[in-house]
Amino acid sequence: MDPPRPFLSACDPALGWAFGCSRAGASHIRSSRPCEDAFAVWSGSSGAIPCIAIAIADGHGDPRHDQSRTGSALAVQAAVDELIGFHRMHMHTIPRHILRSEFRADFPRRVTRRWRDYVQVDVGQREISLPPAGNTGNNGYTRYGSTLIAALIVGDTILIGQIGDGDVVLVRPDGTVECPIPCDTQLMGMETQSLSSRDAHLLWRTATLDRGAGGFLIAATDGVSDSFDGSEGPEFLKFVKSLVARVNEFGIESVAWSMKGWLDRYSELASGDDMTLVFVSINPVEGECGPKPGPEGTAGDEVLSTEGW
Amino acid sequence: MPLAIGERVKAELTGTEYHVIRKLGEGTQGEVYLVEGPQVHQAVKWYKAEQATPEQRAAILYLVRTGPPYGAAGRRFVWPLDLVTREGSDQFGYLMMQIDTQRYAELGEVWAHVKPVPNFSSLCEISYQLANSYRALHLSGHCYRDISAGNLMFDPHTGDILICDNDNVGVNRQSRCQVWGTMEYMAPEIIRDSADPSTQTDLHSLAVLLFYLWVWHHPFHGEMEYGFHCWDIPAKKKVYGESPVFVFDPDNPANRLPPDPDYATARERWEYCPQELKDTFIRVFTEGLRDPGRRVTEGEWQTIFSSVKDRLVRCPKCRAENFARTDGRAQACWHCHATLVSPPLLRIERPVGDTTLALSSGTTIRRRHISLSPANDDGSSIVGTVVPHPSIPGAAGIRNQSSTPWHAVFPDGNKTIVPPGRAVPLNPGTTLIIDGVTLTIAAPEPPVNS
Repeated sequence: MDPPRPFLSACDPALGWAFGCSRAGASHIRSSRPCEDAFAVWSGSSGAIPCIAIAIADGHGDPRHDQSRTGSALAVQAAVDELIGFHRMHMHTIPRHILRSEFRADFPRRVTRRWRDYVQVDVGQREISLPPAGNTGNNGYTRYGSTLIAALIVGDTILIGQIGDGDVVLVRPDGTVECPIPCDTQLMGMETQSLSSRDAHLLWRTATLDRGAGGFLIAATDGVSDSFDGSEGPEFLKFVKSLVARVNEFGIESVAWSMKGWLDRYSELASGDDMTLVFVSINPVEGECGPKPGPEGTAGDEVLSTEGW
Repeated sequence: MPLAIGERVKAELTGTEYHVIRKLGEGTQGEVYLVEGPQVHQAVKWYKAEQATPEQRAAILYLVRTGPPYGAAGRRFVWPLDLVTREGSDQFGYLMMQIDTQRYAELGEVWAHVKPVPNFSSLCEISYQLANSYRALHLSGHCYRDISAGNLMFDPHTGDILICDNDNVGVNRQSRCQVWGTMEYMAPEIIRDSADPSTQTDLHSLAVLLFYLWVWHHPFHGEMEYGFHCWDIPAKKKVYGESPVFVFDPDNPANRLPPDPDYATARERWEYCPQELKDTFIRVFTEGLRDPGRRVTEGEWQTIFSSVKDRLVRCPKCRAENFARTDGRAQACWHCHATLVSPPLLRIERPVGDTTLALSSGTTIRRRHISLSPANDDGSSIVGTVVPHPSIPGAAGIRNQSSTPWHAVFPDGNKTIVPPGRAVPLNPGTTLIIDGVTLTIAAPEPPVNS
């Protein structure tokens, strides 16, 4: 497995810019455990309609989930592949308002199934044994257990899906902060939902947003918000807004380069957990008012990165 | 342009001004905002520019003027109350009541364990109210055209429901609308482009929604959907429209549930369904696909859910709810597998068809048990309740909670009047006459081997 790179990015001139960064947690380093998080960012187009797809995943990491490092990497791969497929299959054939309901109806089931297919391939290639599916919460894929957050920015729409913990925050150009998938209060202090949970396809929560005036979409594993005051906590949201301010002041590339050090520091001082953050600067839809967050990178071809693969 | 916080909007018919407090959410057609008026907080659905068409404006004004269906059934619709506009803009929205999202849940929230899972009693109530409200809507000459889980909210504890996004309601077989529903809820003839949305196609969507509520699965998601690597529009058209096959079709195994852990819950929940509900789902998703005239009507659904709710009893060992059998066959608790003792029954002979109520402490006899409820009334008013005897342990009676006296005939032929507030002992063979309807208390059926 390649050593992690400082950050990976993807860009589409019409839609915006995305970068992601994943770091092994301080406690993982102390116990010689690898980073069990993964992320992927992708940009490309189908039929001249561009999209940006992102995904982050947090492998559970304990001895029961001993393959979760691979599980999280397969999760982000499955998410991006499914999002690309969804984009290709639907963008030209259905009305825009149906796109959202089709995403809500299909994505959870299809991406969960795709992840399991990828796990089965890995199981076959590496001759790993899987326990049989049980009635007490696992679907037979426990060793690969992982959370997953995925988002697709396409046309005038932002589509988001999440299973398990982690955070998605959208900061609009006027400073309004939206948490499109509210934190799951029922599960506080309990084991998180997982791709390896029984009925995983039912455990997803989805949100669909207008791209509108654009803004900044931040997706992070729980190690990041746990270094502050948890999901939707005021300190965590202050951190998110400070990231946006730094991007506006210093540019997205500078922030991307600094992210590695910031995450290492937060992990060292606070949660100790693995840290993964994907940051997307989303351009406004043409004709919408609002400050235009300028992409500074070169217009890329299809870029796929899966940290921790 | 979306609305801004603090911006003022005006209700066109009343002339009332509201100011925008915050955004509550986004849908496929627009955003929903919390607004404050002179007296109360309400909500405004604000259409996106491309959805704010003259046709949509006329449709909203029509719905505002028409009002929701009458009575309890109509009050469950979160109906447009007024057209809302903003000065200097062609965009518009409509005013509606604010939904208590702490109390009411979406099905997806239940699946994701964000809100509690409704028990069987609540599930019966949710299903009954759904059928009751759509019956009232259809009787008023309208069709909904977008029935789906996304438009339903329910109280998981009581089963009370709200039906949202009513701006797509239109006159049956006359008006056009901008939204024709999501494909998984669409009647096959709409997908095949051989029919427009109508009350008849609503019946298919209602059946799919009820199946989702009970089985947590789509009725056509079996081997066919599982086998499609590319789940694109042609694939969906085939599964939902061109060759739909029910996953539990007893005569056609082509689309059975695949042997995959993802389908375990659907299998289990199907087995929890009482037999008459299974039979009805089979009818609607086999004969009802081939012949829309064979679809299950809202009234039939009402009767089924009222009937199965009346047979709910608690397992004495684990307290899990079970649907009691009335044929005397042995039954085990679905949860702990303990043998269930058959409860005493109340057999009700009604002009609209007989029904049976399983009697246990707290069981209620409701108005709908003794008379066919009109479409605008859910018939939930309580006529009588099974109560324990105040001094004899284990003995129970049925207390008259109506405003009229009952006539009781005991097994020995003696007759008496049971005035409001008094109870009649729960003795098998006793007959009650309530508003001209005969109700007979029957002993538990002796167990027989199945």
